Amino acid sequence: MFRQLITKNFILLRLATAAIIIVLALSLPLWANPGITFRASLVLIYILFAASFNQLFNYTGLISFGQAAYFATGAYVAALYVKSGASLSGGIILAVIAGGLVAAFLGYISLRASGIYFAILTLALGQIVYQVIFKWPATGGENGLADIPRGTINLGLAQISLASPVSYYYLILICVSLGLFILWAVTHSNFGRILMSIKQNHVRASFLGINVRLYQLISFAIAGSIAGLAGAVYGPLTGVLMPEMATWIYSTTPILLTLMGGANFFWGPATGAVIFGIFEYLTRAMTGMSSLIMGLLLLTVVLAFPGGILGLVTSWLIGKPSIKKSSRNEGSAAASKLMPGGDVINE
Amino acid sequence: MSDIVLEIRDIEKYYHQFKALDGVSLCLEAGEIRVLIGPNGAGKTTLFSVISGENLANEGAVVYRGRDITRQVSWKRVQMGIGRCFQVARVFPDMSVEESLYVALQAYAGWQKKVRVPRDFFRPPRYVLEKTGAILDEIGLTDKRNIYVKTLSHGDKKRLELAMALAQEPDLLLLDEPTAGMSPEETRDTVNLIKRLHSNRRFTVFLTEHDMDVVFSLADNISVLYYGRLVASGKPEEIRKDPAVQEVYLGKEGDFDAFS
Amino acid sequence: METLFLPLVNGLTWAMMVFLVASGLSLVFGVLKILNFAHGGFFMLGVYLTYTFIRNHALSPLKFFLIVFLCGIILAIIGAILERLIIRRFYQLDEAYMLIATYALLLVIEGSVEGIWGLQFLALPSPKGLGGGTEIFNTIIPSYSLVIIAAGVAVAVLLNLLINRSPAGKIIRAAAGDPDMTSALGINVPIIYTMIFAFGIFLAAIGGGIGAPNQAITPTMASSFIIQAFGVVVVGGLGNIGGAFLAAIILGLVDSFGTIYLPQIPGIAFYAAMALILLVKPHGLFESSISTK
Ligand SMILES: Nc1ncnc2c1ncn2[C@@H]1O[C@H](COP(=O)(O)OP(=O)(O)O)[C@@H](O)[C@H]1O
Ligand SMILES: [Mg+2]
Repeated sequence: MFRQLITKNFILLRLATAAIIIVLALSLPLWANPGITFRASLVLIYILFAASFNQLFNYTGLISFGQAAYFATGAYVAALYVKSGASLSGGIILAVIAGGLVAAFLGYISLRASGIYFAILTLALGQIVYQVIFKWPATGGENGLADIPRGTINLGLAQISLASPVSYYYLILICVSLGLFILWAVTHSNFGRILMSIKQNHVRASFLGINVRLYQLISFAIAGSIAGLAGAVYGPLTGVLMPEMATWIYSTTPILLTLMGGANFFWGPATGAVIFGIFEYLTRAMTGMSSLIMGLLLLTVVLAFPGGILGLVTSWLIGKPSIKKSSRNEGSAAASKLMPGGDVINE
Repeated sequence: MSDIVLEIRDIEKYYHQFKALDGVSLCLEAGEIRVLIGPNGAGKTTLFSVISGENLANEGAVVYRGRDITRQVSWKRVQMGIGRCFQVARVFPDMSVEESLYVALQAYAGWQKKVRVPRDFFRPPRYVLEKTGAILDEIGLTDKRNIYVKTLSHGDKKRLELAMALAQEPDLLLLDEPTAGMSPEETRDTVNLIKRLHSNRRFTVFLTEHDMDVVFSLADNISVLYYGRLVASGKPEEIRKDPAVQEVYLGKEGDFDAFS
Repeated sequence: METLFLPLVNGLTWAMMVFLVASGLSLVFGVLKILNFAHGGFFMLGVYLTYTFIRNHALSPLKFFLIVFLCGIILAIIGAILERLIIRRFYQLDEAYMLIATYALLLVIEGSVEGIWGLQFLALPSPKGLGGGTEIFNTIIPSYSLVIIAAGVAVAVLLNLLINRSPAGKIIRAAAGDPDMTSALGINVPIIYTMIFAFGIFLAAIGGGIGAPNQAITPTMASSFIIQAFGVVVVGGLGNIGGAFLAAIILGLVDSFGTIYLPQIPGIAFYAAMALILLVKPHGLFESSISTK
């Protein structure tokens, strides 16, 4: 009965959910204590970080194990810029550009390969970024950067101080919303449809005259610049940056969040980030167990709920499974075996 | 002397040590329907891959409309006018029929510079919308417009793939076993469809086929490939009588169906 | 001469350490088509388990290597059980999900090691008589480096014999090439998979045990080794063990000489060389399959 009611009013339900989330997000600093506001700010950043990963994973069919490198690039560029006394707005713009450029460069190399080779290349090239940050004196090397100021934001007419957690929360909210809007626009555009076709069958796409690698590269660069944007607001929030944030270990955070929330949904990464944020808050007393818990969670999601939380919710609402367990696409890199009929698929 | 669309010269193609094509040369004249026949494993699909750029030849040259495209990447060959359908239809499983055509036409419109950003950022441009309807009518998939591709029948997937290839306005169309796995009825429809498209669009068709009724009802000319070697090329009647062809693979039974 | 000899030995030592991880990784990929992040975890378990048996005793080499072998067997059994219970479910997954699943398993192993042995650095003494230095070409080099190099070469040779010269190798190559065909021939492919996986774990575990005295033992060693092993396996051509052997040597030497000539940026040479090689040959230096050997 209840289920039917929901199914009938699906759009209404979505609107209501959206309205509640917007109200909650906007009002959060007004009722939450500073600790929770801080955690919520972090969750917002992770939402954007994870969404940038999913732009590649679900909407382009590429798996990046190096997303943290672009996140860190943005974070370091913005942090160094504000530490030099300049305003954060400039730092954010530079971070977006830097994230995009580094991703375009490393993506160009990685995209020469496909499938697993591509994944491993993104991982290895991301490690180079980490090594550079770790060894380079300008980035603080292995000691990282500390005392990153939030500074002010220059609105032309007025300078707004971002020192308070509340005003900085709103800055993050604006940046993250903007970033999500860009990703939403890209994935729902004609351009995004072509990316989707490449994901579903890249051979067919190239036999429609599509320059597959160029499209993938553009998508990779966009994802990199959005990760850079997420990184840019991260440094001033925590005040510290450590080089480890560029390693491939950190690249798996957005993967976990995306899969947990539901990779097939635009709002999957966001859902994953929020749920994980709450989960982390509730288990904050249990330190040291994090990688075990992360691993078990990820394993459970991949094996038992590959559709993630939103997949579960939708299948409950609509009453049918929303994602197949094995989403091996035709023409995917894995399918280089003989196909029935003697046709041979080549990479 | 009519003009030559495609000329391939002394093509050799190896898979590791195995020689799949051994000195294949042939010419396609503009507007003809050429059927390539040969037993399974003869190298027909490989030859199509070499022409379309999915695989590169180890030796020899592929010349399309006077331009050497031997080492050209496949998507550029498509833009030059070479369309291809695969033996096992390659489609976008999680899109609807309509969306698949949007992509195909968008790709075409994109590189033909018919897109104006930003008006056309989210919605397919008008050219795409109109053309989608036209092609669906032409191919007979209008009633399946909103159906998910993965739920289509095998035959409909092949037709959709053909529709997507048509969206590129090909000048030379490569069809790899267009009737493979189809019921007699579907086969008849497909043959009629190919005839109709060919007479409307006047492009050159190069296809492989096992069903001899189909071969003789479509072919202007026939080429015979036998384990990597081209053993004969000519008019259907000549091929039927050609002693070399009979020798190689009509074999004891003296029947074209023997190898299919 | 001396200035070149030490980095040569260091590079080769590193190469053979990584090859001990990469060999099993490559074998498992070649047959099961799984690129297993958790392989690094089993390498680390090999280290910790060996440590647990030996602690700070300096044993005779015979005893030491017996214990390493024993640890390899124990972990291989655990690996076989794990393959039956969990890894088996990975086979039908999409490539990307498969990578993520094995990564999740690595996290579980890392977390467990942290929980059992703690976060602190541990160290294992070398076996008696192998702890000091040996003088070759007027250069003192750590004796234990020679042990590791010998172990790496031995594993490479034995694996080559096993795969290319033995009856078992025939089955392995068949299963790697075409599992459907192999099972049609009446060979039990699932059992072959379990055995190959367990054998891969065995290689990782004894690699860990042999390398343990040469290594600072921490729960993060799994991820640093697995990524280097990935690099080696990918550069060598996925599934090609001989390729991995050569790639390990190339990357090991590049890394150790890179550290000498470019001391400002140690650690980068490995990744840069790997990226460069893959830029030119995106699918590795060598033919990438056991079956097409
Ligand atoms: N990617 C490939 N790798 C190895 N051998 C191949 C590959 N593709 C085709 N072959 C072999 O090449 C020969 C020709 O195949 P193909 O061109 O598909 O023939 P046809 O289409 O005439 O049936 C066959 O023996 C086939 O096994
Ligand atoms: Mg064929």
